[in-house]
Amino acid sequence: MTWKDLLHLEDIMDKSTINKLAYLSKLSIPDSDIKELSQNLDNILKLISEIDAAPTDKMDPMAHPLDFSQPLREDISANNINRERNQNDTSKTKDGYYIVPKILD
Amino acid sequence: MTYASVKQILTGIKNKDISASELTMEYLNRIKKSQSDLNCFITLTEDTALEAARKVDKDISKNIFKPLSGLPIAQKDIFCTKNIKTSCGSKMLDNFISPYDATVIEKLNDAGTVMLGKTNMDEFAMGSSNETSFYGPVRNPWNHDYVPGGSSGGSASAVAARISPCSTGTDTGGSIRQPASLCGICGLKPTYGRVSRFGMIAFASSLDQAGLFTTDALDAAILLKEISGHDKKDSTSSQRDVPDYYNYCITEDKKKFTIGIPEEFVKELNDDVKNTFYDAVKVLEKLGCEIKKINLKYTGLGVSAYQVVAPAECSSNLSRFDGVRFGHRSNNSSSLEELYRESRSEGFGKEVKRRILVGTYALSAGYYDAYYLKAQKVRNLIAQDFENAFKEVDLILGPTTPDIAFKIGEKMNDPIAMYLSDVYTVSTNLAGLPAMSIPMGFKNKMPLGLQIIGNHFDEENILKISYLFQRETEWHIKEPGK
Amino acid sequence: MWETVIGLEIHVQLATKSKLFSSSSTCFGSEQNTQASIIDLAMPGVLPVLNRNAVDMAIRFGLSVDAKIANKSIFARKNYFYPDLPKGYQISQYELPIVHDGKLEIMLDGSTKAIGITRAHLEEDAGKSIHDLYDGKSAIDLNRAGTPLIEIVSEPDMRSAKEAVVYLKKIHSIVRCLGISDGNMEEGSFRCDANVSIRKPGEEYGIRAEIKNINSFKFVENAINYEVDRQQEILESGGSVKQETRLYDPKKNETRPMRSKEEANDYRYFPDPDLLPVEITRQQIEDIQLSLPELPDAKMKRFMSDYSLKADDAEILSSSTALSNYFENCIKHVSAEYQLLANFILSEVIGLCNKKNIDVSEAPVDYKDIANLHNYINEGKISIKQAKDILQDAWDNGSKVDEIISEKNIEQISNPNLLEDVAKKILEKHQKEVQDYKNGKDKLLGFFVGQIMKETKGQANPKILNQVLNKLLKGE
Repeated sequence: MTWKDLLHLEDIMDKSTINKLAYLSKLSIPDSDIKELSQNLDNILKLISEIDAAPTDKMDPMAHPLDFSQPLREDISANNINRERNQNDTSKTKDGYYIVPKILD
Repeated sequence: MTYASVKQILTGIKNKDISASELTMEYLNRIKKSQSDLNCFITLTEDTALEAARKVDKDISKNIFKPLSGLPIAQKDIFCTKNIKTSCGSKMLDNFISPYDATVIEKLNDAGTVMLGKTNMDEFAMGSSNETSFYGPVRNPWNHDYVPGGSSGGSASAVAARISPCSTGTDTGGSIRQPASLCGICGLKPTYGRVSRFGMIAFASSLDQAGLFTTDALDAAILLKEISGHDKKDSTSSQRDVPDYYNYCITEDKKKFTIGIPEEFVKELNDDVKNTFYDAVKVLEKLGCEIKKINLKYTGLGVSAYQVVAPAECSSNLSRFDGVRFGHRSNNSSSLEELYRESRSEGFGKEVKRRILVGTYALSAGYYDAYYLKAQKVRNLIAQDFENAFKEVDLILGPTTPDIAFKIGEKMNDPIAMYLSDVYTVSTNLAGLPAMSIPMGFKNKMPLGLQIIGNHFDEENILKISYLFQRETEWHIKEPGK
Repeated sequence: MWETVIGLEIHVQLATKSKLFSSSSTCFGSEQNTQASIIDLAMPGVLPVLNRNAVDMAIRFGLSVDAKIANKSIFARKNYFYPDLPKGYQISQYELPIVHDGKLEIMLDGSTKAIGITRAHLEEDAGKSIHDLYDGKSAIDLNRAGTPLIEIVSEPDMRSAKEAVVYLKKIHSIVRCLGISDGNMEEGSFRCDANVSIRKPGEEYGIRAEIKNINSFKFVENAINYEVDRQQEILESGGSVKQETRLYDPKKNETRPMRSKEEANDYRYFPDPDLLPVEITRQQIEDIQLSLPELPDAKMKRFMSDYSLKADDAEILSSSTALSNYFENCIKHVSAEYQLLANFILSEVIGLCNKKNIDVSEAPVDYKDIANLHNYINEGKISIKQAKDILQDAWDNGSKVDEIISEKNIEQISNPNLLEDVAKKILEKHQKEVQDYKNGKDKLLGFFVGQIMKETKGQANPKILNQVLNKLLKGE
């Protein structure tokens, strides 16, 4: 069975789903792109759905290909921050702050 | 030119047969000549290259040698380079000057290499053809109408065209091996954790790995030693010792390899590719390798699982590109929400946006279990397949790609077709295994690659078998246009 | 009729030298963005590495609230966009937190109650946004971004604002005692959010509102009480409570909905692929357990058993390391009447500290002087009133107790014959009042005491004086 056999599955990526996802990921999708995008995304989801039938009942999820534990760093503060170099894009800063349009709380 | 391989260059410079400056000038000129045809480079670092070369020549005159003194190298524009533009192939970082060097860059600089420039790539490493780059497509030096593969298309094309003796790349689902196959050169993806990821702009953190393009296996062996090793700035980097890969390759021993060929990697091949592949297998048999048929039952799920895990991780990794602290910021924003939306929508291309949306979906409430969690379990199924296989064989063999390069534009409107060209490469990333593609022949005058997959941290044997294969064949010596 | 249900989420900033995932300094008050490294700024390509000390501190906290320490715990990404969150996700913990299933016993109005602690996990703090520096703009300072926090989540076990405050204060004293945080609520190193709902007893939990921006113990109580009233009003008029996040406004003493959090956020938690599972061995836990200081609860029990203190007093004295040290240092120099010593310290010394808004560690009168005062009172050398005056004097002028006593010649008059003479004189002068007293106006005893005290410049020993007056007035 290949993903092509799954093409008959329901289409999920309608405009409202895409808009919700776009909101969460801070992207704007113009209406004119929705149709093609919706088709592409649905095809991708169908491709992905091949994994549904995989026998994973007794499997753990693999978070890392290698089996070791997190190394720890000693609690020493380093004094090597160069704010000027980090802020080499001066169009985004003022007096050392990053400036954005006012946030209303 | 006499100096074609890394090995030859290092010897020539050490013996003072050629100066680093001369060599660097030669490559810079080749690059400039080819740029309009191939578009391999985003940034040419001419001044810093010549300065570095001059410094090498000074050192050499005092008999100070570093392991890679004077070696020109092209760096994929995914590695942060201090004070130098690092674009990741995207409009989003078109104005980004990195304040620091990636560990891979630092190591190669410290080893004495001379950086020629930053190579073109698919945007944020998402693609298999180098057509999604903000800086235009890269072309295959064997035929300019064809893609070089991706995402490390620029790095592969540059080495294939002999405008750089070697280059770095990154491989998340095949982005080194696939372009190596399509361009007729060697492309090595080390074991996950072998090389530091610090400073390598992240696409899919649990899959990404830095690697190399060279014209032959010995060159790869030399370079791998210099970029490998534990980095305390990368929690996922391995503490394991780095062997002397080059010495291991050239040391004669009686070792006989058992090589497995998975059913799943050959059953759908077209005849041309199949024949080329089995001709390569014959070479290995002549070398004394035992060939076994094996099964990797779940590798067929690789592309599907990959298309969940990679977008999911990338959707999160790319959130930092918000126009606030660096990178593209839209001029049309009067609110914070607009600033985010417009900057990201203007800065990212279509493929990147698609993957972010898929990834966001796969992680979202109600879908996490069915998508991300499930895909992570499938990874274990695939890893287990390999683990079992490696109990019976030393190495696993197959074609790197189902076919030769395709034409520029051919698959751009069919993302699925594009994803499926990774079918033989993705499962190694999912399992974290090392693999290399080496040239094995041609079809319609376009190169084909042979993929050799090893067990975790067994780069030594991958390189050795490749070296032995290359002693018996000449595919790796062939150059485009000659 | 209505039962209040409260759960608290406390964010404690850990007193490590460097941040949770980068080596930037955590010092307070530096110039904007001078403590924000490429890692804190979420530059492309950077990666996190975990601070060992932060892990140790989390374990110490877990052990002090009887919680389980996970042998394997995972960091997860909490994804959302905000300018003070450079990566677009916060590295926190979701499934498998480092500490879980603990409890804390609190005491209120003489009875104890156990408050469940669901979990405590490590996470990084966000930066700061300042909205009033530039017109129409917000300014972002990422110095604080990446500072280690533990988030302590309680079960919804509290049933009144007062209980919540007691619980909060106890957690506060524990983290300070352990040395894992300075617990400064005003500076933001100890932050509390309250989840408040109401229900009819026996019914399911009601819809809860999350209250933020509470930065003092007093405000916790006020905010919760306001919220309970608000919810009650809604439910009693037939409406339903909206699940939302609300901000507490201390000036108006009310809560109002937070605009920016109105859209439901899907955080899309998943294990952070840049970090590996944190493994903690039994041996590590045992080693840390051995190194723990005496915690407030254990100290309180010890004060009660060793010094026979009342529970309430023992609780206060054990609540801060500075105060318990002060008390125990005094104890070393006194021989008896520990409860009276406690009383004196709690009412007089702490009273003066509160007036001057300082901590006992900054008190200008040290424990030796307090011990002296206590001993003199006990020996009858001076009265309690005199002691209070001497203390005030020493506090204001920085002099030593012994100096003051000898300079001002303060001594309690305890000689019964002397006192009798003075008393007789006073009673002579106020014969009408004596008659009234004998006729039943008992309160006049206080008047006589006052007059005699005036006459003796406050130096009459009250106990002896009482005996003398009783003898003279009642003929006993």
